[in-house]
Amino acid sequence: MIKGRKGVNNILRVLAVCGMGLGSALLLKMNIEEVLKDAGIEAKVEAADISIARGPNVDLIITSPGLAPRLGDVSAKIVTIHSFFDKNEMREKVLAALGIKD
Amino acid sequence: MNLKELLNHDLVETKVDVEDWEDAVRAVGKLMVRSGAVEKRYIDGMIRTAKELGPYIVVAPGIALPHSRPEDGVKRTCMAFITLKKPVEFGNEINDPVDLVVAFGAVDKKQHIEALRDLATILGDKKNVQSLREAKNTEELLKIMWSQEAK
Repeated sequence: MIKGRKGVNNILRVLAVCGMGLGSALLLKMNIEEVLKDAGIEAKVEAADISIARGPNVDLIITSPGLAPRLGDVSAKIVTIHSFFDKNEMREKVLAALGIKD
Repeated sequence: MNLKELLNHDLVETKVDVEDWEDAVRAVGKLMVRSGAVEKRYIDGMIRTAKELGPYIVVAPGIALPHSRPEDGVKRTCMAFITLKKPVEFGNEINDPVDLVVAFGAVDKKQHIEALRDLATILGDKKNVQSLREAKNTEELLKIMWSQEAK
């Protein structure tokens, strides 16, 4: 459960990370935004490439299993998604990471 | 620009015969080069990027999304789509093998968002994915890809 690590105004700061930040990351971002909205969670989701993922000020990082090992040491919680078109998988994993019952 | 605006008959092909994943990327890239939307070197860019970053471009079971950076030769926002005669391995343990390849070229972080959104909606429906796999010609393929109403 992420406690006391939320950003300003308790808005969840999420980063969708992929190789270049303009393809798969955007796909991830779109679907994650919908998933969070449907779950009633206020969040700011940004798409990024792997170089930005290491910055601070991020609560949750969503990425593919292949890229997760390259994130290195980050304070954010990491969620890996297998299928970027599967909102069910995203919902299950994101809510689990946030400690929220699905 | 939405999917309907980006994809036309010249940018899709069904049941393409390829030997391996690089072949598949070249086949779909060729369509984008032919349309004048990207330079030839963009195909090398897509292959190089896939090699550098690993097969993360296989974003869902059977579906690959090759692409590269704008500066690798993108002239205008574009997309091309091919289905493969026989699936090939891209090296992604979880989502291989691939038989649907959607390549795109972006000029910035914004212009192609609508098309990606349409793509996510269409490919997010397993029935559509199955129909695309079974599409016998470009008409059938486009019918499904164009099924998102223009916003």
